[in-house]
Amino acid sequence: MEERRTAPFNTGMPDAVLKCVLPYLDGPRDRASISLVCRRWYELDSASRKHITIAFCYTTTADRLGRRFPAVESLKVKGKPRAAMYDLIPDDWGGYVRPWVQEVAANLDRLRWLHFRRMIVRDSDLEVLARSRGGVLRALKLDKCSGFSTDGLFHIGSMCRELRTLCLEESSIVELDGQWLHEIAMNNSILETLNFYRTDLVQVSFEDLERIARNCCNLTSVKISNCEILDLVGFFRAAAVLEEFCGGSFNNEQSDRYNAVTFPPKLCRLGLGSHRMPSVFPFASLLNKLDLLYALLDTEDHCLLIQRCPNLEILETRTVIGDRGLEVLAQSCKKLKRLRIERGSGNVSVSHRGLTVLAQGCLALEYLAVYVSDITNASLESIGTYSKNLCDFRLALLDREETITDFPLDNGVRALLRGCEKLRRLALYLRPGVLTDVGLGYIGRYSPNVRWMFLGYVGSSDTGLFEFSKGCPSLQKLEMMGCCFSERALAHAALQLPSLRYLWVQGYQTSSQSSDDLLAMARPCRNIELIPARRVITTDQVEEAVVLEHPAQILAYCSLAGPRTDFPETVISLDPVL
Amino acid sequence: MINKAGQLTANQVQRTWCERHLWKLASPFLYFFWQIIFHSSSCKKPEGDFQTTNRRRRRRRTQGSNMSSLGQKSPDRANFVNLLSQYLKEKRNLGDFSVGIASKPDAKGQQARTLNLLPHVANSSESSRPNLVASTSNVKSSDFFPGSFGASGSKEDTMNKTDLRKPVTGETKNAQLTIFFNGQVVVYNDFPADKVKEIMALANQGSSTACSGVNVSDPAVEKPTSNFDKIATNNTNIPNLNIASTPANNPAKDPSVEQRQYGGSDLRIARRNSLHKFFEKRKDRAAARAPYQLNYNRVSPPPPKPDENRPTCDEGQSSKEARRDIDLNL
Repeated sequence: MEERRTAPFNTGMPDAVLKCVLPYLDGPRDRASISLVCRRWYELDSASRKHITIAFCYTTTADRLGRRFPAVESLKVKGKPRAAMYDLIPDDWGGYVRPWVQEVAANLDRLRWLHFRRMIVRDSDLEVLARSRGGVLRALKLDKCSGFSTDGLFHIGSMCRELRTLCLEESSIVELDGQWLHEIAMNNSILETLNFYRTDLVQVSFEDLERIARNCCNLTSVKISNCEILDLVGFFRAAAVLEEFCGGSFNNEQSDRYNAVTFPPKLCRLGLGSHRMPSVFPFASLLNKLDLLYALLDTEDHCLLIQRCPNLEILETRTVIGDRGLEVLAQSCKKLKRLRIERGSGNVSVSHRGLTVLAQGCLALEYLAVYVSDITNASLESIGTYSKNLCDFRLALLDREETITDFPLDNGVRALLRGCEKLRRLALYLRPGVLTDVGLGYIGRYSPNVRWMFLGYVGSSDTGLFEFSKGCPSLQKLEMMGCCFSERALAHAALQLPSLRYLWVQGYQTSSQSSDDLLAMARPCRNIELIPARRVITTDQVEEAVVLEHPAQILAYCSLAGPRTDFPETVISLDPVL
Repeated sequence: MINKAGQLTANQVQRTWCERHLWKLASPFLYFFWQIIFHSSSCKKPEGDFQTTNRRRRRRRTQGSNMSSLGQKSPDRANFVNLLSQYLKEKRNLGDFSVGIASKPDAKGQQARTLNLLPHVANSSESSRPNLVASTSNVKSSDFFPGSFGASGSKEDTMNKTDLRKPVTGETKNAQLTIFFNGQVVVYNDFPADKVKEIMALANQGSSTACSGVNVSDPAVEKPTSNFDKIATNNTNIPNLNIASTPANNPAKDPSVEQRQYGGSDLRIARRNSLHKFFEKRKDRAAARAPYQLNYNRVSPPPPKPDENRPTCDEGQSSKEARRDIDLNL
């Protein structure tokens, strides 16, 4: 079968040797480099590549994937822009999984792990997938997807008996009944991860959960939608090896009954709604992941709990933790790697004081995402000084304070970028005037490894964007919101940034000529799409109709597939030919 | 006082000299002021010393000729009254717009006193600042009444400030409104605050379709201030920020950046869907249970928290409410 080819470029290495070496090279960048060496290496890589991530589903087509990587075993496809998580993208924008599922069903025989993020899935797609690959599918993740119902999940439950991982986190699912979980309970005995956290699936029954826990002896991670802990006593008793659990809450007023609840002994990743702290204290020292986003604790409770968790590595909570909670965190949790502080609705807020203490205390920090009400240059500098392992930094400045203490933040941002050399992802959501054009130029100059950036309300003129686009050598994906740049500057930046392949902008200065400036960035393999400004009528909690104004959006991306063909009315494609 | 020799005393000489020369140096307005006062007060003098009166009359005539010798256009009294009546008519017609001149119509003479009607001053002000006063019919009164010139000092200040916005400080109801549009500048004094809001709402609607602000590339507008460009590009943010999308409750609010209307409202920042749903559910549940106030013992005593008088805004309170939450999702 193997032919000895005399290729013009002879590497001197027989294919057999290469085939032994290649499986050890998994990283996508390594594999991409291998495929560029010569035709032979390209073919060997194509035949042996196991994992593909399609960062944006319209950059290529499913049949191209099937032709190039027929042996792929794990596929991850992402659809809608990230802004969809914040309700800024029309629901019918696109990102349909149908072509990908059809390709999987037809050609990708070796596929075992399938992950769709922010895409539109239909029940029929799930049925096709279940019928064609149900016998071999090991993992299905429908992450922040929409468009399907529990009927589609029923097919998955009944036909995918080899499923080890089912993840539906944060998807919008139409719930018709709880039969899908019953199917899983009856048919599956090797489930390891079950996740329907942050969904609205509430008609599931406890008995099915208990049955799954009894049948699946490797069940290690269960994340469910909100339910009462007292109903899960049986489940906890049955799930002996459970390590991760999220979703229960202490709703009952008779607190003494909670004393009868015993959690699994290996539980180390926890996320409960409305914590009842004494229940958690016994095993708090084992915890390495804690999700307090829906826990409804106040600052004091945070401090009391965090003090007891010296092994904590991942913490997600809201701004109610406050600066004081961050101080306690810095003192107690020296192993902390990931911290996410989401925006809360109370009065307590996080500021530069807490961040400085945190940076000095938690030196192992790799991921930091925080909503602050106030920030200073000094705190950003201290992050740059101490958080040497930081790979992902995201900062959003809330409008809570009338004026912030110390602006512009140009020097602080520069110090942070120069200090955190491993930084690969950066998000800064500020206010006008807080980061000037000079600061934007610093970002360009001092972010050699950053691949993704999200910038909101930065800079004050096109000059800033010009300076920014002189740098950022590794920037692949750029998202901007609320900036004051003109279309001409955006087009210039898109052409200047050497690695840029995806650009999303909302809120910019439109020019009087319709989109001619934007077309300056048009290239043969680049698609430009516009979502014009639109009004969305929603109802708020007092049942009044509210009109939301959405500014126009630009989405420009490199694509081998040509312009999209599945546009909704709200999206316009800019074709330079026209 | 007149001495026996019928000559002017030293005081009188001094006063005459003052009258002749000092008023040349002092403001012409004061000169007129003095003249009017002198004239009105002289009418009331009791008939006494005939000679004194005569002399004063002579002096007045001299003063009258001196006045013309100052080289002014010297509007005589008839002209003055004409201008005054014209101003009063126009002021009535203007309605809300007042040109910033405080007129106190208690006595005719006193009213006349407070007006500055010197055309030469008016001409100079007009010539030096052609951009300041727009040629709109509403503001014509300022052509005649450069007492608004007193307000033009603040016009300069407003030009250094932002456009399309009334520089409101604090809660004043009426203030100055400056509008830059298409190379023209229009200034309105004592503009009511509620009308400003209407205008800004109109501007937002108009700009939301085009998604752009005022055309700031007009060089005529950029001339007066050096940093206008920078401010203008900042200001073009404003319409976008006004319509910054958030899945929140009050999108009609105007988060003007330059005014720094921050403090309490995070509407500019979109909320993540999952958290947003979570908070909405909590509010719904708390609102449903609101009539039922139940007390439960907490595990740890709650520290004092500000009370927001709303069902679920305070997170410390909400942990109590969650404990009372028997509305199971399952």
